[in-house]
Amino acid sequence: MATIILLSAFIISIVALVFFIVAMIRGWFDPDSKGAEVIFAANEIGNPEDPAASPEARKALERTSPEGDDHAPDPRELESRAAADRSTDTITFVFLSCAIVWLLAASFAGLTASIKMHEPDWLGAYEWLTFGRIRTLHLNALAYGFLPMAGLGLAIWMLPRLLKTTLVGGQFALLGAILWNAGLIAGLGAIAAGFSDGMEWLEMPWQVDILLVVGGAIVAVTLVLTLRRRNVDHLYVSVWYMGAALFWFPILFLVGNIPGVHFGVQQAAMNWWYGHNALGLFFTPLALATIYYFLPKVMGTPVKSYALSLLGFWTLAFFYGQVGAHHLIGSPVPGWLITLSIVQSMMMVIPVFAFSVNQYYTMQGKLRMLLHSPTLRFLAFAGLMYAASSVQGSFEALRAINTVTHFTHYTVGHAHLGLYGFVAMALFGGMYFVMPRVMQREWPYPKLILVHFWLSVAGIGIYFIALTFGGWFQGMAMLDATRPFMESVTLTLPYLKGRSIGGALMTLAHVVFAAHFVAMVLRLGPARDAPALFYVPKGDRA
Amino acid sequence: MDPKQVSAQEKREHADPHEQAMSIPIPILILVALMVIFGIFYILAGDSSTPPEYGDQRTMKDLMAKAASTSDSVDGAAIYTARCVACHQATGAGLPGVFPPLAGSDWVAGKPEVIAKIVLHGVQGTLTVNGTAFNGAMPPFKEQMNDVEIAAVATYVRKSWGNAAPPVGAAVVAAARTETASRTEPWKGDAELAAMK
Amino acid sequence: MKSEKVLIAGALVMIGIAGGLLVVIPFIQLKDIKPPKGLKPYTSSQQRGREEYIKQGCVYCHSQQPRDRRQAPDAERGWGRPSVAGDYYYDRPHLLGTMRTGPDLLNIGARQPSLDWHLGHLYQPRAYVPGSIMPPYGFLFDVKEKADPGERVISLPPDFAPKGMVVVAQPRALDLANYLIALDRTYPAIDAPEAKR
Repeated sequence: MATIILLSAFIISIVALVFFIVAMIRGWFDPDSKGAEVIFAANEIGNPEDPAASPEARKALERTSPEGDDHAPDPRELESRAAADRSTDTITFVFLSCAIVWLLAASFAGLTASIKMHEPDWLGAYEWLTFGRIRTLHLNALAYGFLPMAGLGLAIWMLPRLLKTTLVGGQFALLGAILWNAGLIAGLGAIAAGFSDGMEWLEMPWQVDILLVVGGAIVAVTLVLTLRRRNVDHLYVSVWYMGAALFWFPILFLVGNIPGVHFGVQQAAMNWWYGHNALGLFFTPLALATIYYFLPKVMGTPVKSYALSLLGFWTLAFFYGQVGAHHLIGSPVPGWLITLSIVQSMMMVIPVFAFSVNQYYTMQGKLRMLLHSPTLRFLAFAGLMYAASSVQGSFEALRAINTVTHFTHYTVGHAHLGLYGFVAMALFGGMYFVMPRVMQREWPYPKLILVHFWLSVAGIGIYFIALTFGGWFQGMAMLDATRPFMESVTLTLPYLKGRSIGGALMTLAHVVFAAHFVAMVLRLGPARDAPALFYVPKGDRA
Repeated sequence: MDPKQVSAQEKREHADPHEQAMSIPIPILILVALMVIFGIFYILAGDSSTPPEYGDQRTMKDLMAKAASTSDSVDGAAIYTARCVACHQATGAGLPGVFPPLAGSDWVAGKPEVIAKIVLHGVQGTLTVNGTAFNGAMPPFKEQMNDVEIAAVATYVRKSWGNAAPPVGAAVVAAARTETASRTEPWKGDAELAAMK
Repeated sequence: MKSEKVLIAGALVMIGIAGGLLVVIPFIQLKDIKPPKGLKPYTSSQQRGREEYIKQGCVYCHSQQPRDRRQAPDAERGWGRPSVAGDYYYDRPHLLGTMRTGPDLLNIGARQPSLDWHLGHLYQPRAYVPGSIMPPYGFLFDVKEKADPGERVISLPPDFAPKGMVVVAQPRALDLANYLIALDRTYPAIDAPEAKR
């Protein structure tokens, strides 16, 4: 009986979803039914490299970029772009600066937690540094510090540009940021002191959460006001992701943190509905919005398929919300819910392929540009890791695989591939593009960007490989009741040490990034007049 | 700064991105269809026999009270691993200064009813094992284990790690249980137990 | 997409469906669950211990949800029968956990009822379990020259005991240990009429 209800609900919802997406593609909901159309200033074709170099370098780059040409941009377009940027630069600067601070704090907390896993007596006498707290500080500083600050900072910067308007009510966003950060400081302090609501991702005491809700709502007000004053007819795909994410997160956060409603096993289901949606319906959309904007922007190529964008967006919106219970396979949560979440986890390959294919078309024939542009390099890596971690996550949800990987470090490796390899790398890429506009200054040391990139890639690579293998072996050991439990602990030690090495590299990458950021902000270092490129083509070396 | 001023960085960019109208590639449509079919099959293949309040995939008979165990089905080694090993260790050697050894212990090898009574009620206070005094507390197991189980684990302990004492029968445990039925607290170490030895 | 209303309405429907399925329906299905007969409410000391468990973040390494034998040999490891929703009747917040860096603890009180063991193990896990990577919780204990009356002194192997001092448990360590000992869901999950103890 339960199976029949579940099956009919599944089929009906899929049919409705297909109908809805077809309607969107055909433009049935639009006032005039042209659906997709080219939406930007006709004459405005820029140069083929984001931080386009000197004329000679530009020429060299154009050889890799069939669509590049030297048409002067439409002056009105430039004016609107400048007006948009001027309206956001202070606010974006504040958000991104906060992001850098939280990134450093979270990195050191994470590294400490990682080392404690294999050196359990290290710093063991300090209660606030005990594993259970420092690990939680790491997660919260990232999830409520770096990721939203960077993601919202970029969203605030992108939206006026995409809507051809200026930011409305920027001072509200600033106030929101202040409240949010004040709440976060209080929340982290509370966790360090041992005041925790006790659920993963929802540790901050609910009294503190109020500050974050109010702060977040104020930021959202700014964005809603901006959206209403748009000067474009068509909403670009990045706007969908940002708009929806800003709408979803407050709902999630509010439902998740309401005290006194949830109970026992039901609370566990809610916990992972929230936990996975913080990732799926907040961080992921913000990062995808970043990629959808900056990747075609820097490449100078349009997004090929509006239809694919729609398919990717609405299937993500539908399926991602329902995957949370795959964290509870085999638990006392109702079985139908688990089955549903497993199926929807597998369905997530649809938005992932839609996104990946769309980006592939954008990059087609221009892959050489990855050599030069820092932004592109980070974004392309992020896009790849999105595909990799999502497909991995889909299969990880299947019972047969989950039985091994659940409860092990494998899951931790997967989570970092998604949140770091994908989300954080996408945000880094966006920040490298935005900061020169915000500061009206070039990055002083392009080599440091390269160092950041490779340390991050090496770090997450080592981290992921170590935990994937270690976690798998740990899971296999736990499933064999003839092997004592302690074996599943001791066999992971070399992999946990590997994880610390990977974590140390990532931390180092962030220190480099932060130092570079500070140098740029304080106008230290050489005042360069050419954009920061990894490899300046010959002819521009003079 | 003058809001109209366009910085060098802004000037050199490409146009903001836009979308073209390519339709969804056929392979993606095929993928969608395949995934939906997969979903239908996965739901059909799922276990629907467990009521929601019992959780994901439950073996119902495990959730019900077990029938009284008989000596055939009780594994003393498994009980030892589940209930004793943390203190007395897998080697039966205990932890020096903390938990007394069972390997070579004069208490283990002694009269069967004594080991039965110790497991039933636990010990509190100084207990001398092989000449070394231990000052700890062993919890009682009279609630957690029935006579057959206590007999099985006592038998296991009496023949492991070089111990070679005869098995303990369930009847011995049952008799010890009846004899000490009124007891509510653990044995007071040597003070009470030494006399029985 | 040209209308932000369609965007927001669509987004609302999507999250509404997800929230309905993962939050509201389980709420309705499970809200009238009664605790099984064998489950006792936590005492105030146990409840304080549960809060200490949350404070120290034990949940990040220990689950409290044995799986079914069809899926994993959790029962064979001595972790207990698969758990059901009723077992968590008194649990707010839930502490199901998602990691088994250490073993499942839903029935730790049944397999490890020794208060001494828990206290010493919390103070320094490696004193009792060689190779353990559990953090030491020395800050829940006081090291002093002489225990005051009524204080619980913990026993440690010579290598781990501070020279010439005694280690006594703070009240919160005792609470935490009491909570751990209270974790015992070995009663039958289904109160079947024919169930016999």
